[in-house]
Amino acid sequence: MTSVSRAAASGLASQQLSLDLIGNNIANIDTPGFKKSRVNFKEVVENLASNSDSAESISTRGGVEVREIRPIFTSGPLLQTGQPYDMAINGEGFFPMVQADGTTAYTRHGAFQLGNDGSLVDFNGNRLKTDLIIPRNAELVKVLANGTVTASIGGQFQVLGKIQFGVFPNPGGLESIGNSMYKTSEASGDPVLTTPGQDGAGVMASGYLEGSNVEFGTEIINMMSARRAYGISLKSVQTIDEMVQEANSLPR
Amino acid sequence: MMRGIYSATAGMMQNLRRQESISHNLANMNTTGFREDILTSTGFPGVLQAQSDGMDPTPNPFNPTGAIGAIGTGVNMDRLVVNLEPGPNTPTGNNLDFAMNGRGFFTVQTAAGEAYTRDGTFRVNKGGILENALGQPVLGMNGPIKVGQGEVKLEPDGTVKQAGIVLDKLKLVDVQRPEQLRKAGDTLFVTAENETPPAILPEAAVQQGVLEMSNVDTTRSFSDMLMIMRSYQTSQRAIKLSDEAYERTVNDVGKL
Repeated sequence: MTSVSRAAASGLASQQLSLDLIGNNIANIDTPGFKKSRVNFKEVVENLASNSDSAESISTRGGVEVREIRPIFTSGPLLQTGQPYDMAINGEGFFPMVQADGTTAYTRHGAFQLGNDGSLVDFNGNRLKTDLIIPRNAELVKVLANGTVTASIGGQFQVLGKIQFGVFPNPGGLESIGNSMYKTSEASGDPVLTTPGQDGAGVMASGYLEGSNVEFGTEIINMMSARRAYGISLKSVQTIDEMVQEANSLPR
Repeated sequence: MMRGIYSATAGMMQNLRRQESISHNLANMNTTGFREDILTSTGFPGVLQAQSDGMDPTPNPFNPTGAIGAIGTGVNMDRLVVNLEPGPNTPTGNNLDFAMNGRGFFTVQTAAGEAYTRDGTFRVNKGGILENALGQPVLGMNGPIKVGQGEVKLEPDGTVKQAGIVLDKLKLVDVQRPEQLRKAGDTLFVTAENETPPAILPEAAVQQGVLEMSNVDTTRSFSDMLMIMRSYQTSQRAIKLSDEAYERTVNDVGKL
């Protein structure tokens, strides 16, 4: 009797997670650099014995489980801000960031500001991974489409350095670590630091930020679907509960 | 009367098993590539009962005792048969999401041999091999498919190309009977014991950027659930009545 409720209850738990994720996506519909996530479900079948008699018996069916939560890396819209250190990637690639603990993480969120030491930092204290140093007296700082940064220092035009993007063989496999940051994983492969506009990397859009890739209509449809699945699993659990009640109310 | 109780009880248990199967299907209504189970049962009609009663088991399964009429024992052999009809396709926009149009399976390599699946959520791993979400290589006609840098293009006949170069053709297979396959979990199928493995599909149609969802018919499952509930209640009523009649027999017959 317990295995019956297990299959039905597994539907409830899984669809609940799906709804939570959709809620999180919708909450971040205006967060620049945010990437929506989706749940992947898997069927649970436990083969209790290898002999073919019981292989297709009901007792092997365990309902559903969450296989993985994966971020979806479609591009968001480019939003013009006009800030000199706001950057967006028009195409593939990620900004490589050095975190406080020294490890590298990757992000699409390019809202940077000038640090005290001339480096570019984000609002969480992570530093853009580049050799670029922007001195205090630099004026008319320009970030070009190929990542080259130029400025006017003491009236003289100078090339200060360049910014490169990390391009992954399988960005869909990146692991989310929060704050729109992602780290390399077995599934994503190792990144190649590439000049913007070359070898599959997108071009640099300076003065822009990439908006969230959450689309309200799609999320609403997914939410309806998850709610329906939840409701049906609930009906399953209720039916079984009624059956058990009926059995319990048999005389004596 | 006791036989009546046993039959009704068997009926209730049968309905419970059917409800289990439907619960499993419905829990997986949003699982990519899920194939629903259909519970089939074959009855052992009174033949077995007649044999154990020492009567002559007549060839007529509907009237084994010959005297009063058919008495079904309600003993059933349940088997799950997988429904291999295709489910609806949903566009996802992911280049490495593959789906088949019509019947057939993708082939993947597992530690225990080949497995088959309708779930086309694929990706390229660190080593450049095309694999499924479980990390199992997707097989082409020449084995695992190595994908380099650049966009992968899938032709409708299953040919995998990259930058215009043909890498391989996907190993797409199908079975004649659903009994040839056994579910192995994770929406994977393996060849069942003593069965012939699936054969290469001569004409396949695949799409990229699309995923196939579960083929569970929720409307039918829902109405099945209602019928099961009613049938269960009817069996329960039958047990109650049998029990009451039995009580009268035990307590009231021969009362002075």
